[in-house]
Amino acid sequence: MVTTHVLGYPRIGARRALKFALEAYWRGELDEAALLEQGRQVCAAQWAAQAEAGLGRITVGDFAFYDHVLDTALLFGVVPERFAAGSGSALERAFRMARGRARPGDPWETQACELTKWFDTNYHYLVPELEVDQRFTVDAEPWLTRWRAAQGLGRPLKGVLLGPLTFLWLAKPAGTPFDRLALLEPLLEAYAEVLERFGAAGVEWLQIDEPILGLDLPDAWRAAFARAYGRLAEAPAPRLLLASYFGRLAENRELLLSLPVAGVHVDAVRGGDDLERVADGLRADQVLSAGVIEGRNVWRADLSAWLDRLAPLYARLGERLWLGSSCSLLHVPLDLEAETRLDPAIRPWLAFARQKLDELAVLARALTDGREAVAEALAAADAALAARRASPLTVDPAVRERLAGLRPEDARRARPYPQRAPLQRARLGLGPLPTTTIGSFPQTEAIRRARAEHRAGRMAEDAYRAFMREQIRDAVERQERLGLDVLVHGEPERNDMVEYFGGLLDGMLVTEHGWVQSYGSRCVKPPIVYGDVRRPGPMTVRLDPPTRSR
Amino acid sequence: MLTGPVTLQQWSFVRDDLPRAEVARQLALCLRDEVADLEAAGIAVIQIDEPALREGLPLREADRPAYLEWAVQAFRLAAGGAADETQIHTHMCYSEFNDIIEHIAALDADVITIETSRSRMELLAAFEAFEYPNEIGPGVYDIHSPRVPTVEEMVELLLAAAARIPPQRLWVNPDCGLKTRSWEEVEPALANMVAAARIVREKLGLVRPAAAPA
Repeated sequence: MVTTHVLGYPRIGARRALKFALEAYWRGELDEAALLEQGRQVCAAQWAAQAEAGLGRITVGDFAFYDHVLDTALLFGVVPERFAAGSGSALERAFRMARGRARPGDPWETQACELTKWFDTNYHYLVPELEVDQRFTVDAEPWLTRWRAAQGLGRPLKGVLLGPLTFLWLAKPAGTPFDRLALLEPLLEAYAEVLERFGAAGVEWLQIDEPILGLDLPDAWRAAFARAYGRLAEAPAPRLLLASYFGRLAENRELLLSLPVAGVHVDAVRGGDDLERVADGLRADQVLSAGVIEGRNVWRADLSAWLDRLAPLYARLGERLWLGSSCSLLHVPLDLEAETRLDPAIRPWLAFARQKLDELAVLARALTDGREAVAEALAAADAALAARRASPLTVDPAVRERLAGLRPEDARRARPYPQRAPLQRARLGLGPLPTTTIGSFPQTEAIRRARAEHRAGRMAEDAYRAFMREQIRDAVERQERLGLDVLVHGEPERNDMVEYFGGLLDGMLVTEHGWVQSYGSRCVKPPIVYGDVRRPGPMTVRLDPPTRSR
Repeated sequence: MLTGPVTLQQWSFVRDDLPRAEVARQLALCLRDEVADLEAAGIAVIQIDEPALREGLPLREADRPAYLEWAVQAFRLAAGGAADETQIHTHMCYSEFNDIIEHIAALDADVITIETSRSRMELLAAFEAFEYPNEIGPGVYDIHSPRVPTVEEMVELLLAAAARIPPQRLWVNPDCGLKTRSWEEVEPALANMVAAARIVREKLGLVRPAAAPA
């Protein structure tokens, strides 16, 4: 049987339950016990979904209340000096690192850690801060508590942990810059201790994430991999599944294959032919996890095409072939079933996290029991893909024609900047050092309420527009009183700078519940571009007031 | 205020049956038409934001030139239809763009406002190494903090910016949009910002605008 698994699962909960619990806790309206209970429920739901889909191993350790990089820092005692003094629970300290304060009136309020983008995604992680003489300690209890809870399911599990080199790569020196690799040896001792604890707790397989293998790495960092995994291989358990994702392995492929780990995971969606090349270099006792189900997008997979690609690998590797998501499913919405208003023609083209679990299960059965064992599921996937390819919804001949007719000068203003500038200054009547703002003004409670009422159909279009015009007039008056030179309309009508336009353009759709974690409790609802994009009519003009504003 | 073609697709789930460059061009045409409608309605300044331009940069160096080429072209296609008298602004909310500053210049926006609050030194260094040809508004206060910035600190920052960027191409603005703040925080902060701009105009011996309201 082919083992199936995912690298991670959405952790915001159904209907963003964790977001609302976190925000209630931060406002002081929910106590810690209730928040922890909500966390347990989200984990239980993650595991239940994987169990229900019949995955070979259920993934444990990918949950985090705020961020998994923060949790890795806490696991190894990487807590900046300014948070060391604060009293309270471990969770309160974690929230101080994430947001500056745990709850209103927190006497230990201080400057939060920096947030930055996780590789090329729109997820943000908290940057760990390292001292030049950083000491690492181990606090594995939060991780192990979840592991023990998952053991109660009585099913095969797999743990997840961020790897030591990616952790160091993502961290930054707290003060004067220094070579972070100088901290590798002490960090490895702490990792070894964690592995020992995990092994003792019954962790057989541990997915250890090293996505920096998809980057252009300096030689010193490449060399450090052999040292790091040589040291971690000394532990008798757990077996390590070294996971690379997001980028092509390219020159790091030989490096990956040289490491003494029990298995490797390859992103087969973004990795080009990495999958086949890694299979060629695999040692006889190693597992290869093929990351075939896309963790970065929402399209239903071409299962038949994947089976064509996987069949020769399965013939060679047998049970040593695992099937997984390309990366964590953190980056896709939870469940297509929650959508009630999707165009029935488009719905079958999509797969959110929950549907992707089923896709993995179908692929695994097709490999082990033959395609006829899942003929119905494969036929449905084939039909959906064929319908999508043939659908007039995806192609707008007028758009294609216009694009084909573009000339190079269409991407150029008529005059160069030095000639435009005096024309613009004269028109705007601007003096030196003009003052302005970036575009948006406070989204007051009244504005948010009006948008929600309008969306729910409880506020009529006319009343809504009048309300928004009034907000704009108020913002303009305030700017005039302040003496700003270039005014903005303040964007009261914009829920989000992408979703707003996504809802107005043909070829794009906005879901009801397609939320994805951006950082902490902040979620975004990315629109889906399913076809050629066309503007059916003006999107911003009717609300924008005239002259000297943008 | 429009969201640029690169950001619209970077923050969407994009179809996998058409190259991303093509999707960006389609989005650019939609925005180009919106720019034309805004101009027709009498709008003289149009901002097209590209906060995700940097984050879309491919992980591997070898893939970057192709991305930057189509990303810059998409922005230019969105803005390129604007009349010369229309001022195109763009905003970038990150500071790590030393490595792509030439491509940001290639966007050819008339004015770029940038988030400089957290790493001012690094950012201004980029402008020393590469002379940005158009107008720049380095954010003079951090909107992510509820603290109201003082006139003095903003004067100091503006003078520091004016030492690196010719004052005739310098704008005065906060470092990001103000939607997450309250009016109680925004109004005193902006009043201080306007006051700081007046002081710096005088200190630098620049002519004050005739019709600035009190």
